[in-house]
Amino acid sequence: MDLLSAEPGLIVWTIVTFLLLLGILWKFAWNPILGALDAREAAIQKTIDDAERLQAEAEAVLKEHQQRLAEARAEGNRILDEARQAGEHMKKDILEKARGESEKVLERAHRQMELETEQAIQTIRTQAADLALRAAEKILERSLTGADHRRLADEALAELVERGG
Amino acid sequence: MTIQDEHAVDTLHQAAGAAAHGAADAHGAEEGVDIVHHLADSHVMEFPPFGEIHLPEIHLFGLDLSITKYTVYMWIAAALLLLILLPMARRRGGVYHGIYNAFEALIVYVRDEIVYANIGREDGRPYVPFIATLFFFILFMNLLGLVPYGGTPTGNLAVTGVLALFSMVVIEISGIVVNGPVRYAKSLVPEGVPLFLAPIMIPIEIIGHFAKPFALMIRLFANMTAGHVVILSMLGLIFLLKAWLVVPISVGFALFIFLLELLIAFIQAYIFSVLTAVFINLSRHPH
Repeated sequence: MDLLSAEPGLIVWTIVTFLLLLGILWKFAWNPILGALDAREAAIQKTIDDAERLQAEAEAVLKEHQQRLAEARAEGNRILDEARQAGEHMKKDILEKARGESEKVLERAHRQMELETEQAIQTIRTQAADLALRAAEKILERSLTGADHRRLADEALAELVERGG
Repeated sequence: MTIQDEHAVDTLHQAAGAAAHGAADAHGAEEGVDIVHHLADSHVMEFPPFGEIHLPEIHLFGLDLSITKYTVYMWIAAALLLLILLPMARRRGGVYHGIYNAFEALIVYVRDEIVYANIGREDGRPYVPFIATLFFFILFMNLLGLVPYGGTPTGNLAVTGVLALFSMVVIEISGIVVNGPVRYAKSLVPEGVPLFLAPIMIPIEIIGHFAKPFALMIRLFANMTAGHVVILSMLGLIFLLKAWLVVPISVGFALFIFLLELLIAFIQAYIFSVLTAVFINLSRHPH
């Protein structure tokens, strides 16, 4: 047989073989294999999609949590500030009250002292008058009469009251 | 020119003459390697030095339907394909191991890079079985020629012609089904071409429709034949020149060409299927 010949026998057998091969492979090989490949690709795609979706969700949750955390921290700071301010306020109040109290106490003490001083002066004045009277009596006992006594004492007393007024 | 050279040239002439006689008197070619005898189809499968198998001759309806060497190798290729792909298809879960893994890579390549890349993902799906069968059948037949005692059915015009014919049928039917017979016939005269050019354009376009599968047929045949011719010529030089010095050079070159043929076996299977896919797409979308 020649190199360039195309024998009818081989032509017929090639047609038969190829058609049979195509039919058998189509039904029993290509359809299952291609189906399996498609299914696997779909599964992989689904897995990837799921993973991406889950990641997006996780990121959203994370962001939300971070936001909440920031809010909580701000809230805490605010509360702390308020407490500090309130404390400051209270401190000032207490200090003011204490200062007022101490001033009142001081004033009362002052007044007390003045009062006592006044009383002391009064006491001293009356005792001084008595002493002066008694001394004058002793000096004048021998030279003056009773009437003179009375008159001189009244005069001295009047003078003393006038001066101490 | 030395005496030895003259002797070599004489031998070359003798061998060339013997080769030219072809298969008719293969045993007479004592001085060389009968290349045509090795590449042509035959009713005998030779397994030197073990002997040979005479294949049955069948005559039906006035046709010579004898089983020949290439018929047998074609069946071996088909059987190997069935042996690999049918068990692979029964695997459940879509996870393949071992040799199936390699075939999965090839199948995915054929599907994505040959069919989907040329016809489109949606439109291409129905063509995958046909083009994958074409690809693997051609690949296996190409590779069988590289096995010891093997033969390449794709190095025969009958085989490549039939495969090209199937491609042509699929190409034309896709065009007719997708566009409808009328629009498809109209594409013989491309739009924008003046009507008076139709008598020229229609024959040219019709020839074009036949030229594509014809080129497929010749390309595959020529590529597979040429590699074998070169390898046999390289090895034939040893017997022609009858010099031990030639052996390492001849075998070295033959080995190089053999490896090249291994590559070409894949490339030609790829080219045949990818061109079929391209032509199908052209036919589906004329102009």
